[in-house]
Amino acid sequence: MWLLYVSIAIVLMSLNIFIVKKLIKKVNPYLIILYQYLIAVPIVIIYSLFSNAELFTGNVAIIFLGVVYVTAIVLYYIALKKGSLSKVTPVFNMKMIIPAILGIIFLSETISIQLIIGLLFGALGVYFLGSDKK
Amino acid sequence: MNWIHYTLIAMVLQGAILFTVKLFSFQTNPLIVLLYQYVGSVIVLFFYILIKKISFKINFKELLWVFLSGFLVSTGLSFYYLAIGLGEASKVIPIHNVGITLFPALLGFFFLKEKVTKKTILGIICSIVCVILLTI
Repeated sequence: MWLLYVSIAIVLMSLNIFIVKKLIKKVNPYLIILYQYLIAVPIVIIYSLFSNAELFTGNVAIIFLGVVYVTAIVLYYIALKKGSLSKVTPVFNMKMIIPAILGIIFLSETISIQLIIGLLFGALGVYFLGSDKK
Repeated sequence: MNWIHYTLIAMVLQGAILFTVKLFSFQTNPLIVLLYQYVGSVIVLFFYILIKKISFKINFKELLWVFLSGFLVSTGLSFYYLAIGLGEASKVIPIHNVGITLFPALLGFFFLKEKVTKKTILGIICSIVCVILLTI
């Protein structure tokens, strides 16, 4: 069942970014995100209620993360406006590099060979995609 | 600045959020974390748009597409969290990350007629290997 769910997630989120790529030529990225999230809030409330999650149990500080969150998404959408979908999305999705590095610095997590090779591939990926002028 | 600079800054900020959320939300349902982030984002955006005097106007057809996009992203993320709840995170997270890296790239190649170069292919392969190694 989880494989079906993750497959649905992949298709929906990919279609979303495809639509954003088409919209971003005409609509201001701030407006796209505002209206996206205005519709997303009630939808997530409904899904939360269905999954028996209690709405008021979260740390309120997470709301403040919205500032950083929205900045990241705006920059991502601007990048989509300027660059191609096939280059911007692979670079952006390497975001898990950052928690890995922060985990080493702040949580004293161990540095494994797997992590080092992963980071090297990440750097190579950014190099290949970023240096391709076509 | 070109697209790579914007993407890298966005990537770092999103990565930092992933780390921060992980730090203080062990006890919180991920859907609630997502909901609170969206609420915070809406508040921030509303005031930013007001201060910057950006018009809230958008034509009806575009608004429908944006709403569809909002439905897709929120439903997609909700299914992702459901999958994490049902399956092992060590399987769900790499599959999801590879999927959301590869599938949009294929949509770009086939539907937006973006150029397929050796460097793009190599870059996508490297990023997929990176994502797998960092998430398994």
